[in-house]
Amino acid sequence: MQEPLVVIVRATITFFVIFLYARLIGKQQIGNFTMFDYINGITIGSIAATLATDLNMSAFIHWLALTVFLVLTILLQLVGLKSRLLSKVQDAEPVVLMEKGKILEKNLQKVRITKDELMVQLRTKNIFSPDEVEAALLEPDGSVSILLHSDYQYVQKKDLNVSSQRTKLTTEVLIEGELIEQNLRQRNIDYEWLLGQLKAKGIHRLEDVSYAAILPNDTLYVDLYDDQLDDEMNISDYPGPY
Amino acid sequence: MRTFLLYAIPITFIIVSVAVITSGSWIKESDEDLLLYVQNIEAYAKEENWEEAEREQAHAKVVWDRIAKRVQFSVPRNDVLAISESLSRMKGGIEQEDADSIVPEAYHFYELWETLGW
Repeated sequence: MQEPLVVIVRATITFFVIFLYARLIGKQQIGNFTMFDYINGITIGSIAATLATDLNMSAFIHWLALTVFLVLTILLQLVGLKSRLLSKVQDAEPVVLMEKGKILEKNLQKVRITKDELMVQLRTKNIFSPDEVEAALLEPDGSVSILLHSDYQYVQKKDLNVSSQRTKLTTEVLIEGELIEQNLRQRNIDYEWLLGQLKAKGIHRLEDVSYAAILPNDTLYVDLYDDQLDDEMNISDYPGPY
Repeated sequence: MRTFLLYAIPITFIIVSVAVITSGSWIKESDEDLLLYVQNIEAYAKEENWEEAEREQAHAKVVWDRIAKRVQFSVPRNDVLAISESLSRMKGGIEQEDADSIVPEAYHFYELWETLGW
């Protein structure tokens, strides 16, 4: 038996199977990482590892198990979309940990979180006094969301009656010398305008540009391959190499 | 065309992958009939025709080495090794001219062969 060859074939199959299945499961897995998602992910990884390397077990059995996990995961996602009740059963509801600056001990006990852990969560959000908290909620994915008391909330532009413009995204128009025409059209900008802007910055060849984007304020940001920087910002304190 | 490829490539990949990892059950039959060689070994051993039994065992070994290379992607390593061991035990029995050890080994082989790839 040619074990190395078998491992190469099985590992290649496993690699692309998990790539494909991860795409099918979608982004929810990462964006909403509940305890179940976490354990599900580990189990899928473990089955995939066995599929790739355990030559004493049938490859098909593990492929089948992976597929069952994929189908069940997608089914649960769909069930969650269709039924609000089952969605709650799957992911649980947010739990209020603090209200009007007061710690809700019963709820902390219910979700088995200590006051120390709650304080850590507050501090990591730059809140050093429980007084500042109007409400703190434990989300189903384990993170803590905090609503500040109105006295401690940041002043918004509208509070000051400052006029504001609609915010836009940064749009890439040149990456590694390659023009992205679709993005130019999206921002209603033509090629001549771009060339004019580059010339104004003393750039005459697109190939010299590593990255160029139109900023939300409609100006052009350009980064060249040749950054012409000195060593002033080098924070290394050891000559190396290492 | 791009949309077609976006679906066609993964679907083809899955079909080919499943074909590779499930092919053991039918690919084992695609070469010369190994089962027949072992049945012949059993028959010659019962007749104590050791020369013929040895010839059949040698054929069986060559055929199995070929089949093993094809089924190794879909069959557990233990099963492949078990068949190799079974053929080796038969060879030992033939050398010792011991029909009593060859017949049980042949039946062990039949069981392994039947379940290979399933």
